Parts: sequence; structure tokens; C-alpha cells
Amino acid sequence: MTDRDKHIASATGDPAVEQLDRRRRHIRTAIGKWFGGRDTRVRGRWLLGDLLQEISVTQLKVLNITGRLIEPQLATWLEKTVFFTSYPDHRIWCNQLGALAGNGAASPVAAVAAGVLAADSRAYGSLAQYLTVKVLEELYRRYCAGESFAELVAGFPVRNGVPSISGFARPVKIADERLEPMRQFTRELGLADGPYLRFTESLAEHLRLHHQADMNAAAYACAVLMDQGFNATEVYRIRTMDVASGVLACYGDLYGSPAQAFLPQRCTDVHYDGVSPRALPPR
Amino acid sequence: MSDVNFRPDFTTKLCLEEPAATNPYIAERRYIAGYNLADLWRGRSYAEVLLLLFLGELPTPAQIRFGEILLIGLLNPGPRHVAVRAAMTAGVSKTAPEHLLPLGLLTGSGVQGGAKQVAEAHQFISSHLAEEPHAFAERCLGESSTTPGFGSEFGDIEPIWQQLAEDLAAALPDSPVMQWCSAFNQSLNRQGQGWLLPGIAAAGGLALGLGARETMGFYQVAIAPGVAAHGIEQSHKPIASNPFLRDDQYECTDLDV
Repeated sequence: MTDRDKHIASATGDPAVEQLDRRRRHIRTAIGKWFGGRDTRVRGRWLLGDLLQEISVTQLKVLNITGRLIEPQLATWLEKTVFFTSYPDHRIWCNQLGALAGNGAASPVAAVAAGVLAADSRAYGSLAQYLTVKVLEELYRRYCAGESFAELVAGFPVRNGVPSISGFARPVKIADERLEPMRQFTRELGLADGPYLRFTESLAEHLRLHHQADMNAAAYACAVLMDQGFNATEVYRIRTMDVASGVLACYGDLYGSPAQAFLPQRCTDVHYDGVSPRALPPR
Repeated sequence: MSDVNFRPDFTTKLCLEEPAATNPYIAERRYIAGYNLADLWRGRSYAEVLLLLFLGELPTPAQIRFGEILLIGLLNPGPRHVAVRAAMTAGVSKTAPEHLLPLGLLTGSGVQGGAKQVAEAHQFISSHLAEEPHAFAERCLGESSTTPGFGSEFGDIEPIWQQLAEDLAAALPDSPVMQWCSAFNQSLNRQGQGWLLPGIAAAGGLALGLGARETMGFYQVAIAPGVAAHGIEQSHKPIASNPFLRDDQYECTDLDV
């Protein structure tokens, strides 16, 4: 028991309160610490003394998020994959928020925060990748236990004519244009060999042959990260900010524009299907 | 995304805007669930119109009283509540003040004591309403199973929330939801557990007839005044009026420096 703990223990007789008091006005952590005037510890290394000269911002990001110092090739791969998740296209939902924020002259930080939150979505963005990793983990576990691809796919509902599997719900007639370039640079960086990626490619092949469905680039990217030892929670955190530059492109495009310049809506452009106008009854 | 058949417009049951004759972009009248907004602001209370917005129909007098108690009870969950504390921390650190309410609500959005727990508690209560509450509580305690919206915080139960729940139950005495939750809570109390704030919000929303997501949104609206007011209050204070732990209060375990 440290002197601090002895002091706390003597102050009250309630063990629950004593336990809370140990954390009151006190932080104990292994992630790091700023030593003002000297340097900063980051996961057991010195930020200025060690890391500044040695690693990229993506390596630093992953180190902060996971505690792992990844190889430069994987950092380059992560940077390249952001090319596929942050387009300067106003139609993408998170980007619409950026454009609306720009048109309203909100701060760029508000725009990014709103866009990143919007992309915390089951349909696309960071949450979708978390869900894809969870699905892949489960399917791969069942596959290793002996289930066939047909059995794996059978449990999923069919939507728009294809099995609704996170990362694999793309109709085969509409190819994901990102897949081949991603396969190519993944091979070039020496990261295209691992059990999850082989399983994912095989599952996609089964879906193409039997269900007219295919994987999208997110499923491929998730499998690569799983082969590199990242779990769903880590992938979620690593992918959090990936849409930011597209949001900011749309924000900047509208910033300074006249009010209501972005997709102005007539009153009737929002279709009302509720109760018809009615008189307010007396109390 | 050309494979998906997107509709050209938004669709809503909540609000109708009638365009002005001279400009289709200008609203001449706005209706909430069919009622002219001008009539509502002239003749109804804020709580009543808020409930109308979420319920789609005017609330009964008992629902209005219940809603008012719930809204006042949640109005300011206190400066130590995660959402309020976040807004206060940002406020005193000179964050742009327009961000204080949204960042507070975001920080308090989690499944552990935040908005997502309200939705979880709603699902928990609604999926067990058919069970006898006392026996179910005993089973939960015996199996140490999770009871979203109920439990203890800081190793105890907070009397304020127990009182709020009692007053809510009294305002809607015929509500099966409040009756079930009160009985469930009573059994939990024997083991030092009971109502948590998200559980009260969830039971309140469910008793009013709201869905899980609607209840989560209602909860966020309800706590917003406290989050905003506390955050903005701190924004007027000097940055040093907020604690910033000294080096000896911050242990970095990877190195003895």
C-alpha cells in the first residue's frame, strides 16, 4: 500500500468510497504523459526524442490508438485506403453536412465533427467497417469449424436481391471500382497474404457465382487489417476520421456562398404524408 | 449508388410547410402533426407541444403532467453528469461556445450511463414487461445479469432518481410500464440497486408510448438545458478556474521520471 493509499484508507471506512477516492484527482495510465519543458511520453517512447525523426503521422496515430508501432508499409497502406473513403462529392451524406455547414458559415471543425459523426453509420463509414470486421470474425470462425460457404450465407436476409452481409451486399453487375487498385497496392506493399483475406476473397467468389453479389472495398480492407492483427474495435478507431478531407472539400466549396446556395428546397420538396391540417381543440 | 432506387425528396409525418403564394421557398404556415404552429404557441405549453411532436397526437392532461415532471427532472442532471461535465470542461477551456451543447450531448451519448443506455433500457424494459417483476428482479440479481437502466452508481443508488421515479409513477398510476418498473426497482433496492437516470428516461418514454430511438432523442432534448447552461457559464470564467492536475497527480506507469 502506497502512502497515498494509506491516507485514503484512513479517511473513510467505506471500501467503495475508498476505491473511488483512489481515482479522485488522480490519473494513472500507460498511454503517455506530457512533461512540460522536456518531452512527451507516448506508449513507452519519447515523442520528440525518439518518434519525431523516426515515424510518420499514421504510425503515430496507430501507436496512440492501439499501442502498436506498425511498419512503414502498413502505414502507407492505411494512407492509401483513405483515398477510397473520402471523396470530394457533395452527394455523399457526410459531405452534404460539410456543404451545409460551409454554406451556413459554421466553423470547419463543426463541419468535420458533423461529417465524421454522420459517417458513424451502419450503412457506410467507420461503424460499417466495425460491423464488417465483426461479421468476418464470426463467419471465419464458423468456416474454420467446418461450415460451407452456402451454410454461412444462408442465415442472412436478402435485400435488393443479394444477401445482406456487411461488406458483401454489392450487386455483382455494379463492380466496386476501388477493389482492383486496392488489390494491386496491397500486393505491392506485401500485405496481400493472410487467412482472413483468403477467406474473404473465397466468400466473395462464392457470392459472385451463386448470389450475383460481391464484396466491396471495405470488406477487402477490413480483411487486410484483420490479417495484421487488428480487431473490430481497433479498426473502428483507426477509421474514425477517414471521411474528414471529403467533408472539408465540400465545406470549403460552399463556404462564402450566398445563403441557401446548397440544394435549396421548396416547401413542397419535403413530402408530407402525415395528418391533414386540423383545428386545435379547446382544452 | 446507382443500384439503389433513391426517392427524390424527404418524406415526413411530423411537419407540413405550406408555401407562400408569392414564393415557393417561403413557408406561409407550419403545422406540427396537423396543428398550426401559431395556434400552438398561442394556446399550449412547451411540454405539450414537445410531446405532440414526439407522439403525433396531443397528450392527455395526465401525460402532460407526467411529461412536465420528466422534463424538469432531467432538465439539469447536475455538474458531475458526463454530458454536463464535458460541456463545462470545454467551456472553461475557451472552446467556441456554439459547440458546448453538441459536444456535451456527444460525450454523454454512450452505452454506459448515456443516451445509448436509454435506448438499451427501453428495450430491456419493453422486452420483459410480460414477466412478473419481483421474480424477474430476483433472477437478475441471482444471475448477476445486466439490467440496463437499473443498478448502482458509485456503489449506491441516488435518492433523487428514486424520488423522481416515484413522482412519475404517481402521475401515471395506471401505466403498466411504471407499475412494472416500480415493482422491479423495489426488489432491486434490497440489494442496493435501483433506478438509474437512463432507466427513468427509458421508462418515461415507454410509458408515454415512444419507441426506443424516440425516447433516446427525447432524453437528449430533456437534458440539453443543463448541458448548455453549465457549459456557457464556465465559458465566462478564466481557464485556470478549472482543475488541471499537477504532475504528481498524473502517474505514467511506463516510466519512472
